[in-house]
Amino acid sequence: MLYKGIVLKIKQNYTIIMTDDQDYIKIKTKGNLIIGQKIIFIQDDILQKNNNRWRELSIMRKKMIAVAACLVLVLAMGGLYGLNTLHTNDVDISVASIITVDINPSIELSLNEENEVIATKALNEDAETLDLAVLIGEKAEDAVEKIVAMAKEAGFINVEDLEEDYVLVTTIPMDDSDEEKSQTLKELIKEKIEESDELQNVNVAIIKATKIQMLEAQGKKVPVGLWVVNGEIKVDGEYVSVREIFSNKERIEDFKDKGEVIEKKFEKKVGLIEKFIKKLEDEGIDASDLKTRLGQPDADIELLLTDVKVLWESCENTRNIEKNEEKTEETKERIREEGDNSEEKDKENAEALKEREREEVERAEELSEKTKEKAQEVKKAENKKVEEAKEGSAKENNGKINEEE
Amino acid sequence: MINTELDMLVNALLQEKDENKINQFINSYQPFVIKIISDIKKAYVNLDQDEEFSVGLSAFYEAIKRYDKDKGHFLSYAKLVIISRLNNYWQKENKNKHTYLEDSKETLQFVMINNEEDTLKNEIEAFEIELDKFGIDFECLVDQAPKHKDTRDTAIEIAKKTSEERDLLHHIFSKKRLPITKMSERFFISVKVIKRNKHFIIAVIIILVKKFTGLSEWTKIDKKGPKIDMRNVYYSEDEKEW
Repeated sequence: MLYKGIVLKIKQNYTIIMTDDQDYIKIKTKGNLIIGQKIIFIQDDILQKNNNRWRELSIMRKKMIAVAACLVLVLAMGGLYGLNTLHTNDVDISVASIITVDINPSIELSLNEENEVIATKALNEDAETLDLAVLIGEKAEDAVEKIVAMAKEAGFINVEDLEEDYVLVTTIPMDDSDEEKSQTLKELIKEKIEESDELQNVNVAIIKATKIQMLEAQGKKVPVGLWVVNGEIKVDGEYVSVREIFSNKERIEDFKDKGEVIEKKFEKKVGLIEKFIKKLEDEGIDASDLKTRLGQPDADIELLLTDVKVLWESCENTRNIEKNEEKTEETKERIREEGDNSEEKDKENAEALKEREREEVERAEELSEKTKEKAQEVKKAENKKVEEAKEGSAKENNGKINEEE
Repeated sequence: MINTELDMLVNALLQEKDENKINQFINSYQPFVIKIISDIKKAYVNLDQDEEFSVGLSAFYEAIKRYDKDKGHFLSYAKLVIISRLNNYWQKENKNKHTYLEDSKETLQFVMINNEEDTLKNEIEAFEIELDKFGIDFECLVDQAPKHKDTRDTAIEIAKKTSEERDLLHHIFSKKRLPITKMSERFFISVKVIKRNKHFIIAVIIILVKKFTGLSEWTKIDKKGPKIDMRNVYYSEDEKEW
């Protein structure tokens, strides 16, 4: 196809032409061209368009962009000097949101727009013992997982015991009008829980808070997530721990009104039950009823956990009593031995010791009484429950299982 | 040497002796001829210089007539013929240069042609200055001009209509931009279309109202011509009057 055009502008690498159907195109610069010359050319001569939107911009726009780019450069260079300490009380431009993680160690994570950790802060003494620097640069959900792992390693939580471990995560967007930020963060963490073995071993409680609430809570030296739920939480006027709050069923329900609890993964619970059944059996205690219940398809896991816990505790007590008895025996031995050597002093000592002895034996007896009672109670309750279960109260069980969201 | 399809096609044309078909064939190879001429010249073929092009085309025709298998591939043969005829032509032209200039009638024509180019050149330079007032350069137009003829036609229509509205022109030349909302309402065209082609539309408006006739005749957009003469209007921000 032949093209006809008028030469508008000549440059070394191209020439601009206006065609006879008013298109503007660039062609190769050839020969001696002058502006206003009318020429014939072919497809080959046309220079392929650069998909560079830069040139579509008017001159003004380009200048504005250049100025803006310079400003950004200047700001960025100047801004580096202010990044030593990230004050969470000031509105720092680069912090888009903050997450606090409270287990027992309380840690504050500052996040950028992409929900990556840009700064960390230990909020209590226990947190100070952890190496928080490794969290910087991590995605929020990965950092939470790492914190749980570190807490486990340091011994702050023990996933192997029957005590429920709670990790409280509070999300605080820096922009009060941003409604989606907290939701997004929650989703990210929930997704992470799905794929993280570490997080499935604990109960994760998530709640959102505002900047103001964060400042208030800081003033009261209370984890901000709990502050949001309960306003003031004081037990004997002292700092309240997450564990204490979540050991109270009522409080947990209160929490669920405003936040979400993602419980330890089902399988983990079952695993724990199995483990402790085995332990009980090792101790010579009959846990066959528990085993039966566990085996049933509609087993009430929550209840089983509680029962196993009780049984185990009583078993522990019994063991303690035995230990105590052993100790008192040893003490008696020593006394007898020493008694042979010196007289008066020994007599005094012997008296004192005998007193202690008596006290210990009394206590031991008390304990063993209590334990025996408890064991009996448990057995009774067990039998009752087994009966009820047998009667096929499937409704009850289904209802309870549905609660596990 | 194996004959390509093209070679065989040419042979067939010769045998059929169908002038229509031959003409069609030549037409489809016009770009080929132009390319050869341009390559030898190391410059573009001028539109005004019909001669070169005619010489090339008749040489191509000759090549068809004379082609047979012994001559190798058709296109290579055609190229040789074209180059040969062109060289003849140029030699003749050089010889004729003196004669050409001596002829006063032809001299006048020559001068007029030059003038025409000059006028166009002046127009284009003025056009560039006007565009610059709006912050537009030719490169920008290359990138923003719609590549489909239909879209261009629409944009040209918008520009034409706008150039007939006094108040819109007032806005455009004082604020150096298009009153897109008003235009959209008045001409029933979407804001998006106007925005996307705004630089191009401004360019057409400038050509129309500043009466760059060389350019408008070239693209034949000036069929009606605007009713308002803005050739010598220069705007300052303070002035509200024309």
